[in-house]
Amino acid sequence: MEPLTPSVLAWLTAAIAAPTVALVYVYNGLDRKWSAVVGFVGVAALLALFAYTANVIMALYGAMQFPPDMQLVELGVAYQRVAAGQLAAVSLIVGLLAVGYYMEISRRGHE
Amino acid sequence: MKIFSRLWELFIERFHLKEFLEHPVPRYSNINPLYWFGDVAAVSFFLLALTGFFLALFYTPGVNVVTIPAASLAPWDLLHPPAAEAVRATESYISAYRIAYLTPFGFILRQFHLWAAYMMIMAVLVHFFAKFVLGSYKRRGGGALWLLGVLLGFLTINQAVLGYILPLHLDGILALMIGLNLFRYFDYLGIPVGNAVIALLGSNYPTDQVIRVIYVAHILIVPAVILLLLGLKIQGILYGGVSPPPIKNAEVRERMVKDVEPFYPHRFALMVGQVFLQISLLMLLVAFFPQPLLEPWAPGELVPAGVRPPWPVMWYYTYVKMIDPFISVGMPILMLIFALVVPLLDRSRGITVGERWVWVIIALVYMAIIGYGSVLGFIIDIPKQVTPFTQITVPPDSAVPYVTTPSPVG
Repeated sequence: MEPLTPSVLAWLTAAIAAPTVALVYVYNGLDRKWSAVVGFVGVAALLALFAYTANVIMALYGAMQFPPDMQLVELGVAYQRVAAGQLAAVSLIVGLLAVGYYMEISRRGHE
Repeated sequence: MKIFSRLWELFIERFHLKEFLEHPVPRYSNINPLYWFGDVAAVSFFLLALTGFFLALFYTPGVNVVTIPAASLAPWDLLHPPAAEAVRATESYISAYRIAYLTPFGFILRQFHLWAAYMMIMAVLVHFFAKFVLGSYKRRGGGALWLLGVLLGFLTINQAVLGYILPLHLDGILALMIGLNLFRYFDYLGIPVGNAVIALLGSNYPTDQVIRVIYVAHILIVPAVILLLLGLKIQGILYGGVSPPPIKNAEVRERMVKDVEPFYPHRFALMVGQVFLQISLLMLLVAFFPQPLLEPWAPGELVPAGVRPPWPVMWYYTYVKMIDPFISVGMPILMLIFALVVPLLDRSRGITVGERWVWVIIALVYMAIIGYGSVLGFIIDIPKQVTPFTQITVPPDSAVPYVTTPSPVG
């Protein structure tokens, strides 16, 4: 079976990451419990997608040799850029959750 | 869950971490962005150390020439289309090439390291400017922290240039040749630094030994010094506190200083957030703005027109070409000395930005010198004046290293 192309994986990543980040941001100000739940589900989905992308990358680089075929290099770079995007989304969600936690405890300390 | 909290309590107790974790942090420093950039620079340093560790596993320093087919160079790395079917590159370049294009996740690793370095330099510059404007050196203990900060900033930019040299691409070799030529300046002033550096490096041509010394300096010596100074700086901030807010009303200022939060969990949570947001931004830069590996260089080859040094030193390159080299070559040293003596020169008693307007203008001029030169260097191609100071020494095919070589300095 052919693996998903980098552009399909990039769109899938964006489709999961964009609503998750928006919901985590909105829930941070409303109810942090739901923010954590949504964030956790989003991170799990993105990590599953990252695991798939990492598998494709490892398989692709198993066929690399020196000097390489430039088409393979370009494909490898494209998959790695998608993987970087997935890790960026995961880090963004975790970062937002941590800052949300600080905002809540800081606010509580001043009430 | 209970067992984990018990273990955590035991950990805190046995390692005497209670005092550290509960040390008070003023709330204004947690929420005012002017107080964040030192942390951003420090976190970038640790991210660089982490990625650098893995890069060091794959990188091989060396100027031995390897011939590769021109078709195996990525089109985005080329400044000009290759003239021949085969291209000469150094061992260093090939190992960087292997990391970037032939190693799984190597592309992410190299790009992340590069962008983290750029982020660290940017954070250092903003942090320096913020502390300059705030006059943070005026409080008790602030002068020592300022001194450490200026030295750390200087080392950071040096570290960036050393790292940029390592792949031995055209831009890297340009940076190296400018760096080696810089030491001539001291010789012209009658300070025999140039010869001392050449004796240390073994040559002022990029030989195997020079590249190895640069590699060791980049991965071991400079990071060790940075870590030591950073440790002293963190210690100073932990026990001396952060700089007071620039508020004129003494009562309000005092109230803000006394409005504190414990480091754990407050600042700790914020720092975790900052680390992940920083990683996120860096990964986004890797995904959307990957930087080219650039063209290879081989011993004996000229650096063609159009090649520019990395942006952290671009301002310097621009001024060396624009202004009489006798004045411009020593600019970084003069700027470093000025930054070091700022706490001695600034005798103003003001606290707010309005009261300190003279020093705010000086800070703005200082940053504008760097910013103007950097931007100009990228938008205008200034022809290089070839003078004894600025000439880029072209190394011979096989440079004979070490002190028996007649010194080309001067």
